[in-house]
Amino acid sequence: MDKRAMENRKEQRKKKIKNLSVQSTILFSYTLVSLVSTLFLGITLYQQYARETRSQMIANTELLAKQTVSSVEDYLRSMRGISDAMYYDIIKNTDFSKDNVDDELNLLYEAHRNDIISFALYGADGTLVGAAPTSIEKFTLDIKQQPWFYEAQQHVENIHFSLPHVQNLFDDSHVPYPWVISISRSVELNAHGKPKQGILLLDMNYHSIQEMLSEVNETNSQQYVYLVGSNGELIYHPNQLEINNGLRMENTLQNANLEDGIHEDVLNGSDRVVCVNTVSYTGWKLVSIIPASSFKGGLANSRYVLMLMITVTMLTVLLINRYVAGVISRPIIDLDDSIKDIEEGNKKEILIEGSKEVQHLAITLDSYIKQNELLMDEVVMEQEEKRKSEMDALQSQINPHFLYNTLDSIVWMIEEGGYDEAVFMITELASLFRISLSKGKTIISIKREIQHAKNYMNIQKARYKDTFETIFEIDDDINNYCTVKLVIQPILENAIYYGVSKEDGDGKIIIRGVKEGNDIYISVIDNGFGMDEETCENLLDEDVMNHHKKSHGSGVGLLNVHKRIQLRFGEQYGLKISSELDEGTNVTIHIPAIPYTQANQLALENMDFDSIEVEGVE
Amino acid sequence: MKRKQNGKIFGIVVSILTAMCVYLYYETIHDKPAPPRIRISVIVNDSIDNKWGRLQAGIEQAAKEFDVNISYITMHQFESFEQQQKTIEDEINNGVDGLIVQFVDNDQAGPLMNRIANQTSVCLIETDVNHGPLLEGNYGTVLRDTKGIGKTLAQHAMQEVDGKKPKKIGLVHEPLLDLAKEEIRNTFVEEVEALGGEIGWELEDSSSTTIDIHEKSVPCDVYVGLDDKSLQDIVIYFAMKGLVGEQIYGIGHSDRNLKFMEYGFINDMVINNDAKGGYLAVREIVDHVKNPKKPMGHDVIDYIVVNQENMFELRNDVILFPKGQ
Repeated sequence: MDKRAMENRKEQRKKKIKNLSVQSTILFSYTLVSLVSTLFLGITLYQQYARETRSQMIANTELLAKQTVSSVEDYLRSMRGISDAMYYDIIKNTDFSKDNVDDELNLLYEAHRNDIISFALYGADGTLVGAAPTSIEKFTLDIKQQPWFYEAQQHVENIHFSLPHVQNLFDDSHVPYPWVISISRSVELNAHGKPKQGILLLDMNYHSIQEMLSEVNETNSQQYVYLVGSNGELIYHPNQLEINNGLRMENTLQNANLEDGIHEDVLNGSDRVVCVNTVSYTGWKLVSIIPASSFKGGLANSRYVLMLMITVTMLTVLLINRYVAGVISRPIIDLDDSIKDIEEGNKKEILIEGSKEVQHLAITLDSYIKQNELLMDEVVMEQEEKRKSEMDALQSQINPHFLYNTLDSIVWMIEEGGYDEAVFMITELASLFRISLSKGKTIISIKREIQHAKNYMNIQKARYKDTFETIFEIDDDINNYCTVKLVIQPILENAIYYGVSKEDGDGKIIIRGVKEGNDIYISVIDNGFGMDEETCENLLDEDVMNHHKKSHGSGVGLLNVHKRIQLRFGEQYGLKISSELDEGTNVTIHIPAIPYTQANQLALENMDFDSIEVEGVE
Repeated sequence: MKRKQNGKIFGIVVSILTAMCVYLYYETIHDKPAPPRIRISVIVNDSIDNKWGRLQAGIEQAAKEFDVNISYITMHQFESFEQQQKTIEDEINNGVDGLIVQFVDNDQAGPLMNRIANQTSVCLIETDVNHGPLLEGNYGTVLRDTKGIGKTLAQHAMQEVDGKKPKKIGLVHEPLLDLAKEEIRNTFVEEVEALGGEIGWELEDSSSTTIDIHEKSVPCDVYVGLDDKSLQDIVIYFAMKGLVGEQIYGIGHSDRNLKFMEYGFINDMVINNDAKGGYLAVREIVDHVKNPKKPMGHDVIDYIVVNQENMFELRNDVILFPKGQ
């Protein structure tokens, strides 16, 4: 049930689409195609732009990271340079048995006090040899246990960078617990020309590094950089406090183990692009983070622009489509309106305008309509002619002269006492009229037509006192075929009046009916005066006969018969007249052999030739 | 008829598209004004005191993270609760979005809280107030773990030294004006007693003279200061007497006490993670300003126990000396 309902709905939808007007169809199709194309183009452009933006952002971040790493490296290099200067220019040139380096250290410190918290020079046993700024050493500390100390002692050839830590060497009332990054190295201390191992410590201010990296992070974007040690220890992070207190997560260890380059990671379910760069000397890694959301954020305005572009395009396309659809469909709509007007009878002519194709269509349609009108007129005319012919035929039957003469003959017979003959005449006359009327039928059987001819000839023979002989040679086979009624009688009438009536008993009229193939031929042959060839030819010429009718009134019956046969059966049928002067005349009726059945009779009456059946004739 | 209807539909579609064009054009060319920055005022007693350093570090970090303007209402000691109340009301009248408040008088703060909690987002630090029928969720708190601190401190104070379990404890603290201090003290005393100790004397005056009088009458094994000043005064008292090796414990935060601890004058010191407290206080207010229907939360901040041995360990340094400080 549901399926059927669905199918019905589908059908209705299809019908609706099919019933769309030309303008709507053009507008809808063009707009749909334009929309799909614009969307496809827009989305492709947007995706391309998004990819480009993403690549550009990554490239920018990579560049910024490289610059930052370069700055950090420069800074560390300068710190290293200070350490080198202290070692090679001061410590190496000092004999510690008689001099100290406090003044030189203080001078260096003063020159770099913003970046350096302290200098310290220790002996291998951890005793303080010199320091700047001059401060009180904390007595609680075992220097030899400090990581920076034993690292430098163990690996004498290297300069060591520690992780950020709180300095705990000196009592300083101004900065009691500063965060520092310790740079330590093993040095040679000369005393009496003998070298001894010492450790030089430079505590650089952690805030310098912090500020350097904070500046990079001071943008409104969601991107940020952080610095990790080679084992994932956090050196700098813009959210260090949150991370230390468990309020935020960071993949420090994972990212510290990544190779330099671009990577992707996921933190708390969010995708991020990670750019890793190693800082020379230290093995630290600068990690730049670009959250995936920042790519989208940067594209927000582009999305609006793209949507605006699509909407404007849509609007423009819609308006243009509407105009184009209007231009294309207007002549078709006008043509349609014009046809409707013609259907309603308000107009007679089709509007011819618009494109070449539409004009051609309109012209063709106009021509068809005109042809149709012509044909209709012809049919009407034919019908009228037919009716007229039949009226003429009927009129000829009730020719007052014929009736008068016949009745006069009957009166004469009664007066002469020829009652039997009078009765015969009246009977024949009655039969004649019965067949003439035939209940309004036009098509009757040949048998009845022959009967009609016989009735007529019997009456005429009585009138003309047997001055001529009548011979009927009708094949029995043709009796049950159709014929137009009252076609033989006018020919007989002509044969009597213009053929044999003036003969003195030698006149002969032969009525012969045969079937040849699919045709039937009924001939009326007389041995009268005959006609010359020209008269004979003119008998069936309508123009001549109309003129002749007005002047003489003879031979018109034949033309009437000829036309009636042709109207009913077609141009190939009708009368054929041959005559020779002093020999006689032969008028042959040619009709198709159509069996006389009720169906065929009805079909012929209605001129419905397609329904005629030619089989089944006995 | 049908053509008229089609024309109507076409007109509607064109109108919609035109409206969309206008809207999108407007969105494209007009930069949305940035929402006004949230303004938060911090009103604490003696706001320039070094004790607020860590809290400020947390507040600053959160301010940077959430793009907030912070105003520290610089005052030394509020002379009275009325003065603090006026300061608070002035700030509300100035249209601040939130207040971080440490009340100077716990008892009088209740009615004021009832009034202001509906006007702005308030987050209390250090201690809650006796607020009466205040709707839960109308204000937030970021408090110390008072019970945990009291208990932990008692356990450290009662630990054996050289195989000898302490018996008597000399307890010094400032007047217990707020609920938090009171709760720390009570929990401490309960735990000491539970561990078999007793309070030899308890002072609200930490001057050397007062301590001396009591110490002479009842000598104690362990001395505990429940606040930074009391702890300092205990250390100073014994230093002045030239006594070293006394068992001194307490709650502190100042660099001075850290120095005392570094040099071995203080055995163990409890320090609150105030930086985290400052961060959470700002976060609570920002959340509430952005989503006023969401009730404000009550956070408890953690603490660490540091001593001479572990105070320079990195895990403690990040709490003791926040890098942003």
